[in-house]
Amino acid sequence: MTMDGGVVEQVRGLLRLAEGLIADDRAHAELHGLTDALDGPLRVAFAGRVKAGKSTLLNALVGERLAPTDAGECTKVVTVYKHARGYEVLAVGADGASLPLPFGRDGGALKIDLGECPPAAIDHIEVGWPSSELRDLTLIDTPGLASIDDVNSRRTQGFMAAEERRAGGPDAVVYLMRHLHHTDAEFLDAFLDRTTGDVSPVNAVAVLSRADEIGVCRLDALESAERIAARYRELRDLRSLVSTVVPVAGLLAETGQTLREHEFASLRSLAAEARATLDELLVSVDGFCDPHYRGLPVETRRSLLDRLGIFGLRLSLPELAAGRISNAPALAQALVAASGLTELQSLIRRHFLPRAQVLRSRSALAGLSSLISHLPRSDGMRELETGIERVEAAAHEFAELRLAHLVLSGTVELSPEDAAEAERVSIARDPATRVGLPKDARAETIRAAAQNRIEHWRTLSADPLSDPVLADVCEIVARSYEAVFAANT
Amino acid sequence: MTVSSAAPSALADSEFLAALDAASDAASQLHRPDLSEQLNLAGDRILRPATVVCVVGEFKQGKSSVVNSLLGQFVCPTDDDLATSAVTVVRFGGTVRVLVHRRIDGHDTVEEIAPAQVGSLVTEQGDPAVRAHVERVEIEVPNPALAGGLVLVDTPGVGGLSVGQAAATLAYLPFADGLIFATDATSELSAPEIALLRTAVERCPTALMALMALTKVDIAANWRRIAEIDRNHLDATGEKGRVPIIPVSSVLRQAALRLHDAALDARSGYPALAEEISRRIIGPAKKSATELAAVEGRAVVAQLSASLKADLQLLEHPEGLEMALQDLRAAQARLDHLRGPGSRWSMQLGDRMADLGAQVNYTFRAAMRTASREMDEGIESINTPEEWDRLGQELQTHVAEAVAEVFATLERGVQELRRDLATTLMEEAGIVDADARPRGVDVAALWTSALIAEDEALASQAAGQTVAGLRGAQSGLSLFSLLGQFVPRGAVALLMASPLTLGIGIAFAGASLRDSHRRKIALRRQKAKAAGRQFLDDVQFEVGNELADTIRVRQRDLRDEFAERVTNALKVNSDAAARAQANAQQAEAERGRRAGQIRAGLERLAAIDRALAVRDVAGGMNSNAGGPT
Repeated sequence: MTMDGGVVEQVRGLLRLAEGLIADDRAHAELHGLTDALDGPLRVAFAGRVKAGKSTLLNALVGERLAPTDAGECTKVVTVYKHARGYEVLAVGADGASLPLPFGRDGGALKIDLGECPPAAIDHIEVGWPSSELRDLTLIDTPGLASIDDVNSRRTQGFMAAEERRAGGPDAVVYLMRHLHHTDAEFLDAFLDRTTGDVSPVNAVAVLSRADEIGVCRLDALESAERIAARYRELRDLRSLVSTVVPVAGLLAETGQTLREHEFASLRSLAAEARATLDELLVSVDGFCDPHYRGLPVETRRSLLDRLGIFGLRLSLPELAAGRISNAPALAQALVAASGLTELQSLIRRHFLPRAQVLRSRSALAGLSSLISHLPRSDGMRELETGIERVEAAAHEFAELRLAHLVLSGTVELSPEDAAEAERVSIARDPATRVGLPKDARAETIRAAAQNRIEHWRTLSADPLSDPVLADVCEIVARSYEAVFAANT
Repeated sequence: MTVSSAAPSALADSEFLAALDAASDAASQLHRPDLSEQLNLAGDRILRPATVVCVVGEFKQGKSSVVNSLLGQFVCPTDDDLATSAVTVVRFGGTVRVLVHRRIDGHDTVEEIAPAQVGSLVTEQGDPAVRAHVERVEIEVPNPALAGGLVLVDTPGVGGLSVGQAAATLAYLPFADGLIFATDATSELSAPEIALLRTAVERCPTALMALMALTKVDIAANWRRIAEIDRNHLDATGEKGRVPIIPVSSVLRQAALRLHDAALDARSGYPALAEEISRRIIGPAKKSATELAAVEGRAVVAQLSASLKADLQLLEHPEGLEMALQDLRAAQARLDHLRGPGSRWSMQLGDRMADLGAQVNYTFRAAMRTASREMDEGIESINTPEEWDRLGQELQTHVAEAVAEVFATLERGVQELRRDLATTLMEEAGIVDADARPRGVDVAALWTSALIAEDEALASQAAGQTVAGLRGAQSGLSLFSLLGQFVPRGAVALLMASPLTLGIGIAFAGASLRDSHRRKIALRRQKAKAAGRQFLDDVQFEVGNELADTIRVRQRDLRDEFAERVTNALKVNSDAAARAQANAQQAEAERGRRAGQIRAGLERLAAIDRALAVRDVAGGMNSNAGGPT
């Protein structure tokens, strides 16, 4: 038996109530948006500085080159990629009105024609795509931060800002950075609203992006990136903002997911060259495109370089030359494996998806709050506000979220075993897993275990020397166990 | 006694240098070793103008690699992860030497360490305790690229989590003669980078040349596009943005040097970068050094000629001896007046320095008061530890700027005073100073590396004249303060500390999510204010001490310098008198012979003057030596 039909239902009830109380058309549209979001897939936003690799990573996760990537700053409008049965692109204005946009594929990438629509009038673009990867997750691409064109960065900040929460805000964030810069920390901190814990290690992870370039594309670049990511995981400044840091070479992942047969053919023909020739070609990007080499046209080599980067080439060509990889799927697989994408995917599965319902509920509540605050005061509004407060305060799922935040960010001092237990409790839906037992455990066993843990945590919470935050945390864990106990009586 | 025999640069006019050499010889033959020394140093400046080139940029953009690649040798540590965390000054030295400058509890220490330990001191690796208090690291290497007087400064990246470092890095910039801004070619310039570039260029003097090194072009597939985009961004910032962009690759450079492959080296972009540095930074430095030397040389020649002419006059007209001797005695009397503490210049020096000291102290205290007020106001409006960190960083930045300003003001005042004192000497006793131009600051001397013990320090004061002589490489530098000597030693140790170690962040640590207890917040604010005030007090204490020391030292320097001028003038005077009497007693034939020698000497001096005049763009302040009348 799961335990969180609770908060989702309560939030749904509030939304229904709001629908009845609000007359405004536009507000209604927003309410619909909130309700859809509550029932829809988890919304994950990609944020980071300009050229951190957000669009590339997004494409890798979707498995298609949807988001445009380019040498210069590219993404200028918040773009939402969601699952749909057909293909469609909509420009959504600030007033909620949407306008279909013409689009096409250009060399595999999606090309949207903004037409006469001025970018300033667009709040965000919605791309509906029948990709299976988008069933569980809606991915949101944002303009880069610290852009020279301030407008773009402000859009992202506006989109993510807790106070501005509208239908469409993210439930979780993947933050990309190439090395930790103070603007990264500032940004992460800015939309970490400490009073409601909107975004926190609970729903944010960091990616050390363009990992191949960190080690200047040496062959050991990715190992180096892993060491750096490990160091970042221990940094106090990051731990309070994201739950972990993983290195990913986005370009490798994107290309691995979308490799074409003709590209493989070109690579294979290159790999057939003498070792010395290959070494020459791989010395530098200019070297790779050297017109003096006649084996493959410069244009073809240029596009291989764009697709794989010099690191990808340094990785792939020797493998092909040695015969260890002999067909396109094998190469694709090797690229994805090397890129670190799999780790990120499993992280999202382990860390975001189990909390999806709670996170969506929280987003919906925040959206409702914000919506109400913009409407004229009335009894109905006050009733809604009271309702919201009640759910926020009472819903144990939110308390568990808070618990997870406090533990993950290191704000409370717990022993490693206790910390792991607290996190497990906060995320596991299944009662047996919650108490640390296998799924098929019998009800009596579960009860006994729960009782044992309740005592442990109540004792901790009652300790007069512990600070109030710690006591709060222990209390929450105890109550979670109590719920397990009650459910198995 | 020749001009320094360092490797001659292509830009030095060898004829000019020969003339300078000859003038120096003439001076020493005519018993004016002081003038000879002066010209030797002027020549030195031409051959090795101290030019400081700072490499700045956001962190992990490849700055240390740029330095290493320019040198063709691994000097600055590089790493995939950890970044440079201390200012590293690299200059020429006969053997490899590494010196660490620390400031602990108000004491400067300089320690020589093994080169292998540089990494642990200059990057974030290893024990933070080892890195603590390091203000800068100086590395001397026998590298030919540096033999011409070039000093390369590798700076900690700006934009890492410790923003206090940015303040320290920017505080060093006014001393640079050149600036290399490093940004990598894998992505375009970001807003913080442009802001940094703008600040850096503004902090440096108008004569500064800035270059942008676009690094890592070997791995950036789109580097040409990026260069174009960057060019547009730079041009959009206005006049100051016309900074040349030079694509480089340290990886290719390394390979090229290993394989002795000139074509590969050219592709690495480093020869082009070196060429730009030479053309835009070292070239102008040499040019102004040459011009300055021309002026000095001609002034020396004029003095020598005047003295020879006077001798000649007496030889040819011995009846004028009595009058000449009278004149000399009168001059002697005037000069005697100038000796001793009661003399006008001495009192002027004392009074003006006292005034200057009071003025800078007042300015500094006012700035600290403003900072304190702003801090208080800021604290009232913040709620979270992170906001406090940011406020702490802003505080550090403002303080760094105030300190820089104070020392700059001090130095300007000292230079002005120096000019005025020279005028006084001139008015009082007609002392014409060949080196009347304001002495600039030898930037390289700012980073002097001697392991100075107390008595050595005194000895080097005497040798300080040599250092002083090296100053003035670029007249435009005359406004630069000795900030490089003092901010690092003083406040930077405080400025570079993170807000946490200042105890400021701790005041807010552990804030719980739902902490709405107003009393707790008020308490925390009080703590924060107290911590901030403590920091400001510490800064004031440190800087106050440094100011007092600086003023004392500068005053002593000036006093010594001008006392020496007076002594010199006295000696010249009494020598002239002695010569006049000796000549008068000679037999007629002997006098004729001497006169002939003198005329020959005057002709040689005239020839030297003509050679020097070629580079004297100021038109020469003294008339030429002229031939025998």
